[in-house]
Amino acid sequence: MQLDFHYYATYCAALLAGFSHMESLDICYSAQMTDCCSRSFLSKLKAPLSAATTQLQMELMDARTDLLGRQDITRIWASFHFLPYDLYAPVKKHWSRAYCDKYRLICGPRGTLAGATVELAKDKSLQAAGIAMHVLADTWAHRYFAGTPSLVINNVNEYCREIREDNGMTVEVPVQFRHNPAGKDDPATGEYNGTVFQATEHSVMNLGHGRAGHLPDYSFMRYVYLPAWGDYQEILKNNPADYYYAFCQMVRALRYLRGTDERFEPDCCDADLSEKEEQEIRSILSKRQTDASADWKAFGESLSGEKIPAFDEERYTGEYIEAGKASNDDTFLGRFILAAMAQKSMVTNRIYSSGNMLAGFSVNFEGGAFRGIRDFKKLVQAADKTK
Amino acid sequence: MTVFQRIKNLITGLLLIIGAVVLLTMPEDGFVIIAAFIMVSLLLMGLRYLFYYFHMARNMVGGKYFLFLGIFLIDLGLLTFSMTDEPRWALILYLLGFHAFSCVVNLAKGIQERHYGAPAWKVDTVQGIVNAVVFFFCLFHLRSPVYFLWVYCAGLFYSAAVRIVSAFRRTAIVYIQ
Repeated sequence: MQLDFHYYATYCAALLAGFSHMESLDICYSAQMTDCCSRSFLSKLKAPLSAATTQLQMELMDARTDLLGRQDITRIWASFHFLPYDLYAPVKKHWSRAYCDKYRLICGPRGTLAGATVELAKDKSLQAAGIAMHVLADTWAHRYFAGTPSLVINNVNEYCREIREDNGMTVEVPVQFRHNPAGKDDPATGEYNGTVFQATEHSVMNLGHGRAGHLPDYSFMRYVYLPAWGDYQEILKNNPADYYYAFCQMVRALRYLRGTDERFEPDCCDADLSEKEEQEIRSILSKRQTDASADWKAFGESLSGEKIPAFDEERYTGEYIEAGKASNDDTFLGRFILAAMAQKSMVTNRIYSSGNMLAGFSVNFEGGAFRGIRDFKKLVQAADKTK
Repeated sequence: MTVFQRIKNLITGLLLIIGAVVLLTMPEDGFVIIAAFIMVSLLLMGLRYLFYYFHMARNMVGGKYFLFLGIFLIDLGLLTFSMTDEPRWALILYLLGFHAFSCVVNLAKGIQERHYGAPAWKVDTVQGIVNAVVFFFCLFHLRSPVYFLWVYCAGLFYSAAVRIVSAFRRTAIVYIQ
């Protein structure tokens, strides 16, 4: 998913869940920030680098893919963009342990971890809610891919066809993948950018949906393809339907976080929207465009009657830097960083507890001597403060 | 990292240092040793791909590619073994390719980080420049094999240092219930 959904659509979902205009702006800003909070960004703020929620293209190109490097990549991408569906998914007898571990990191919606993510944000900051909305929405868009570099799971071959409506007829058009990083996707001709095939299991080119380019990120896309793990079974990815469920699930989750609903059921994707709202949303989702920001913005502004400012990555950096070490945890970005570390910590712990070492070690903090990565002291201090 | 992985990193780091020292002390035979190392690497890579196929890729759509790749690499390793007359070119091409690629990636990352205002841009830019210097150094000394040996050994020392430091790094994520 991109800025159009993570920022503008999340704003709309927050409004429909009952949050005010200003609260909704904070939530959607945090949701979009999850795609921007890289190590480069954090190092500029002199903030803990372990709070990174994404990696820039060049950071990935330069990323180490040895054991520690892969664990770092997996922690970031599995925690924020490819939340695993079932860490205990049934596997076949003849599969090796290494293959099973990767298979169990495949992302999907309505999983236990999706519920745990929303639960983690309950009674926390609006920034935590925003991060949870990002994670939740991505489980729909990024389903069938894993947030770890893996060819055997994430590879997509040339067998990929887009399903379009043409003069009232349903037609299948072959998708052509190019590998030009500067090239633009062209829905009219069916040419899309994807990462280059690398015959190395752990190449960063095989991370997430890189091989399928941005197909999972476009709300209008409907396509069939053969996932590498799928035993030659074709999968239909219906983005307009998935994105609608994602939107409804965000509304439900935000109602729960706001206290309107008593429970959040990851299985429930019915937000009780009015017929007009549903039609409006479905029409935005199915419009053939690579960026639906303008449509979502107009819809959001019609709901609130307020102007939605454009997303600006730098909006809160000055506040964080000026606050200094003593009080920067109480700034907008300080709360975002704490929420990001909590989410990463929770997901890593769940993966580790399932016996899967792909995200590395996790140690339970029990108030004794501090072990583990030093950056996480911030999280311990914040927990102490709330006590 | 598990204790075993830490020990493995430490031992590999020490072996790389020993290897580099051996190469530096025997510059005459250095090229032959490196060429032999590349041949063995090709054979091992071939075997690794075969293992990868039976271990994981056989479950993957199109996974047979790795079966054929493994066989091809083993064949290539055996072929290289029979062509030991000009081992220096293998090393020259490896070093030129590696440093050119690293230079481009480091400089591009430095530019991106500078755009973000991240202080790390200086480190990456310096790394890029060092790689460029090494690349041109190698390019202008194609007829002086001993320099290539030095550059190669410097790379081995660097890899060893990274592995040894990794062996002692704190790596666990903290979780608060």
